[in-house]
Amino acid sequence: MRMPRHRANTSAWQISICIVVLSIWQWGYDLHARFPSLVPDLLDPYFVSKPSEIFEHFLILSCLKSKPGMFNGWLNGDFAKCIARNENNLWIATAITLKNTFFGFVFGVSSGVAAGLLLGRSDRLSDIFQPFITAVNSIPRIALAPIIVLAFGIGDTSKVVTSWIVVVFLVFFNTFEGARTIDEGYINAARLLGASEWQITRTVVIPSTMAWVFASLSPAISFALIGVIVGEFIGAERGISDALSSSPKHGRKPPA
Amino acid sequence: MMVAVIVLMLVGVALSAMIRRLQAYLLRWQQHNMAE
Repeated sequence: MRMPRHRANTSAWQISICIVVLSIWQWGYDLHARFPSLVPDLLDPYFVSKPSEIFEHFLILSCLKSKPGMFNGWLNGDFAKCIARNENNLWIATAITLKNTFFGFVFGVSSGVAAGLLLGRSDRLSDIFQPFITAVNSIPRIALAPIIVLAFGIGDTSKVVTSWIVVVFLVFFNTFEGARTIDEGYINAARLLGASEWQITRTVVIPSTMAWVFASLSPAISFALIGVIVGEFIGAERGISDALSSSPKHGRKPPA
Repeated sequence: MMVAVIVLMLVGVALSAMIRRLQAYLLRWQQHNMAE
């Protein structure tokens, strides 16, 4: 019975931390106004807004409310009208960003694994491409985002390509290292048993490398999202970064 | 703007959770296949 109690304790701590952080965010600046010498000048609502205002704006941007205090009805069609009125509403913007992230992730992982296996298995190819890979990997990939947007336009393709270029090297290096660190004994044993190169790759190399590939999936999805967001920041027709950057563009108050 | 930041944070958390489950599933699947 120790585990559920331990879990409940952990959850209680996590909820308490959330409440404390949100409370400081919500009322910290007001406290500073009252006691300037006691409370430091942090969390100016002009820059970081307040949780209550953010939640209110979230309801409006997601068409759940049309204006403060008025909820949009599902049955009378107000919600559908609001969604139709704003092409880049929060739901559609999030769905588009997620779609681009998914494709960037899938293409990045698949091409990274393929390239990693190919170069990890071949000493010759590895020697030839090593300096080029090191050189390309040294480029901060995010710096390529403007060029990618210029080349592929401001549509979804440029976001997928930006995401792909960020993910592919991460997965490639993990797969490459995985393919390089396989115990030669297994490969020699498979060769002795008469396995062809393809059979060795399929039955020895790929299963041994998979743990390395799986380990790279977690950072890869975060990097894929970062790639899409940066691509959307540079230039996008739609997506969540368009909503992120639209308030300063239109001269609106930055927060919320 | 902060709405989008918060939504992105939630999206990131959801994606990470999904990938962690996928990783766990793939590792189980790999162990099962290697055992055979």
